[in-house]
Amino acid sequence: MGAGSEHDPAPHRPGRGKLRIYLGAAPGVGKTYAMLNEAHRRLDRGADVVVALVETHGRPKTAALLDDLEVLPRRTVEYRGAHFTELDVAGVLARRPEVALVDELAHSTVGNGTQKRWQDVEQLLDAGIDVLSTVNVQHLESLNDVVERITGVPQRETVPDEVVRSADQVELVDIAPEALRRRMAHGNVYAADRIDAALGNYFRIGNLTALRELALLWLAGKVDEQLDRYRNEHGIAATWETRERVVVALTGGNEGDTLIRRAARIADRNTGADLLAVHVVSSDGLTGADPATLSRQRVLVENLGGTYHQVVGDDISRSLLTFARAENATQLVLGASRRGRPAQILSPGTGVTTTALSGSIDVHLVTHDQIGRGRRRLPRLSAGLTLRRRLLGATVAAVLLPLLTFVLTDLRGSLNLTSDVLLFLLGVVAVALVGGVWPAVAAAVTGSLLINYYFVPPLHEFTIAERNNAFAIAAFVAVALMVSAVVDLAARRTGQAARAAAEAEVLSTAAGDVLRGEWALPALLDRVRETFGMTSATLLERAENPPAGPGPPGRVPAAPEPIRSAADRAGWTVVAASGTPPCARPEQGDTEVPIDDLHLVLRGRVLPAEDRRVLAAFAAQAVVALRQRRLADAAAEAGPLAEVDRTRTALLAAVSHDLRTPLASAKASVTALRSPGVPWKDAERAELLATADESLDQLTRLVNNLLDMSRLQAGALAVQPARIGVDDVLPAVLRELGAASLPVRLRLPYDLPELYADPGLLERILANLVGNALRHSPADRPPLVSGSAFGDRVELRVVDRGPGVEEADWHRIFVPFQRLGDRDNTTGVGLGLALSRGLAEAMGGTLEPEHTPGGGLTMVLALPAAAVPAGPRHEEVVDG
Amino acid sequence: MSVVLVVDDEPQLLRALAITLTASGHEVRTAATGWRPLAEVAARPPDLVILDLGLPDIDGAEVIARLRHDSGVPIIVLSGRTGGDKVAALDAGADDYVTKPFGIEELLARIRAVTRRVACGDRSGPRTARPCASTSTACAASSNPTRPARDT
Repeated sequence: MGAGSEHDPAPHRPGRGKLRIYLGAAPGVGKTYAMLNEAHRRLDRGADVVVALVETHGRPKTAALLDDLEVLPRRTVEYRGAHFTELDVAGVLARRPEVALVDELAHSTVGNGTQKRWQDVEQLLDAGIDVLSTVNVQHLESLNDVVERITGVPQRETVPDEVVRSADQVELVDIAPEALRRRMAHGNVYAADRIDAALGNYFRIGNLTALRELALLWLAGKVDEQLDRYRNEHGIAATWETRERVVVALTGGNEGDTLIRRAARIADRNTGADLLAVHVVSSDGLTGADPATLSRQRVLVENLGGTYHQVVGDDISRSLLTFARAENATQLVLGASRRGRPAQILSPGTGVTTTALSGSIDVHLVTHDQIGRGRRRLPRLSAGLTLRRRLLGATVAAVLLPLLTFVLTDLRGSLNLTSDVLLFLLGVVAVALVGGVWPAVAAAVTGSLLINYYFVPPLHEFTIAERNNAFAIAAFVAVALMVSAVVDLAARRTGQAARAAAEAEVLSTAAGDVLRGEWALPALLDRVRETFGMTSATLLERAENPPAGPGPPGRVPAAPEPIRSAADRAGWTVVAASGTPPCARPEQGDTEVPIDDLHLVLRGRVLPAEDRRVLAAFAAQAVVALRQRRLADAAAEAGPLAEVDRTRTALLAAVSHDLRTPLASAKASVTALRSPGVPWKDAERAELLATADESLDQLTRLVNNLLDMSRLQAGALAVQPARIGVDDVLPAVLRELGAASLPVRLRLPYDLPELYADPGLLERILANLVGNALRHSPADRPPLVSGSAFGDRVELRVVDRGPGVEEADWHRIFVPFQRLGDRDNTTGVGLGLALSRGLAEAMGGTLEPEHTPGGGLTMVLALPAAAVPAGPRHEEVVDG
Repeated sequence: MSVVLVVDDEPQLLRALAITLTASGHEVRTAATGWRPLAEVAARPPDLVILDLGLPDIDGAEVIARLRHDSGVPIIVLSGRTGGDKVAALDAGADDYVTKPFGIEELLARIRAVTRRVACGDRSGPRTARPCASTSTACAASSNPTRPARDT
């Protein structure tokens, strides 16, 4: 935004008038209307307001606002043989009003000595006259190329951005694209016969939305400039702005609700931010998670627009971060530790560890009222105890035994050998509790040696004098070993219980997924992939017929095939997959679970044996989900079959009626002529023959339509495109329709490019469209056929002012055989539009309905132009 | 000369029938919808109604039932429908049924047959009072069981 460009935003000079601009995204948004309202406001305040130049474009509401305003006369200019009316700058200067209204700032001018109207406006401003004006965003110089890219229409009439940006006030006149379309449809923007290809394309919702965005952005840029200036003046640093993904970690405790809500608020603050909740299930220990709480929190997350995930991992911090990185998370929300202070001294806790490892991901540690109420985790073992626990046990032994020896040596006088041995036993049991069986065994052996050396006479020798003491030491070793074995076993059992609990939790989530309905299978595979940390999970089904040659059943192979294994012959089809790349065959995966013809194949790593049990359960669930879905599909298919049967009967009645009706008229006429003894007058004979002729024509058309429809549907329609002008085809069309008695208005520009189309087919389409339009037009408002070019296409618009068709029914009118039964004689079997669209598409064109402004239906037939015409020939879209 | 009301939504057929029936000595009125004949029959009762079943506004069978409610005017159904609809139309009170397409001679013959039966008063119910135009031999012929009138 060039605050320092050559047109310095004019600081308001004393004596210079003020410029107020109404900026719109497209014609018809109501700029002129807003400007006139402002004029009235100023008039009411007692200002001297004149209308120097306002275009009402025949819009009655706008014209009404002109009524009690003073309108200055315009100059009439002759230019290349045509007369234009133009702003009379001299006249306005002579009149010297306080405020002058000048519409359409970007308009080219003729004969004022200026090129553009904004230059005229500058003169008025310089003379100290305040000016109200309007401009559309498409006319802004800097947006010229963008607008052309969006709309396909280049703009020749532009106004330099500086002129608009330096205006004292720019007011955006904004309206939703849908509302503008409605305004168009009601005929409040343009009259029906003004709509041509360029305009029709211009007013597509997509275009209007893009133009609106442009207008808003442009204005926001202007606002930004002001804001930047303000920021600079006040030393405010710029803020950042990216798309956010917020991951919230759930432990399964009650504090999760607080965390989720907090994370949702963080996500809310950033438009378009995603919310993901994740719960880490530890694979080898107690989770401490309450499934009921988790499932409640899952619902909460989903209600807040987020998604719920579960991952399996031993190290909670690392698992969380792995998940967060995989999901491109930018923020991670954790609860502050639930453990009490003493526990935090021993290990820093998940929050601190995660923060230390988080890298570029922001970590929010959220406090909650569950702090310090954490459950104590029990020691756990999966294959015995973890290495860490064993090392800890060894350390305890290494510290405790020398300490005991030292203390007991000091107290040798007051304690006897029994107490010494018992105290050593206590130490060994402590080691067993911490480090399991192996540290305990080591401690027991070391302990026995220490007792022998330091406490059993003879002291400081590894010999035992009394048999009694030898027994005591032997018993000590035995008890220590047994106690540590029991402790170790308990730890193993605890581990198994924990693992079972974790498995149960994972499976209950999986079962919940299956119950969730149609998306069960993908959700389940997602869950499998997440739970086991795989890159992809695929459900494959063995297809007995390889996809290469699915011959008819029972077919005898022509030559005996070489014998191959069943697996070789079988093809595999992917039923469902999660993650990439999916496996196309079972052997591509690292882990596989077969169930009948279905194989659940995982890619990523080879799964340890103990996980396979859970995986098998998952596979079973997946198969159940698949069967459930197939059953539902089959049930859904059975319903429409009956419907199809009914439809077919009704359709047959319709076709039969349409064939019989003209046949009946023709036969009645011909048999009447043949009946002996009736002295037909010439007029009667002629009329009967005409009736028979018309009826046979009608029959021919119907049969042709039916044949073409079936050719189209079989893809056997012969299209022979050639260069052809619309005016070569239209006369034949009108003749065929007998449109001599029914007027059809034509508006074909003399420079309309030729089409590249099949003349016969084009004639058929036009005959159909014009016939429809004639049928639905009121007698006093004949249909209009207009042609215009847009890019490399020519659009023919067949406009009727009939009752029109609701937008919701637009797709329906193109469905063939929509009329069922024989009740309605006016529409035929409904082949017409379906066939026309099919023919248009066969020629590389399109046929689309639109609202006729002011009511009625417009059919837009777009076909490729024969060749790119020389020179630009776009029509410019200006306001009006 | 009898008055015939032809109801069909196909303009060509209406025109052909109008010319032919006029030429064979009937006064012809036409209607393209189902409601018109109902009003017309009440206001200016015709001697015969020729009715298409597939009408745009109400179904032909419904028209027959309503006509039969307060009039005994003979009705010949003219329709492209065959099968069950034929039985339904006759049961609803139609006197005869001609399937499209048809030869004009056949239609004229059926008109004559129905008119004869009416003249002999072989139907009960309210009916326009009109003197029997045909001879007693014609009446005898129509009641002759060897010549079924509803043979199509």
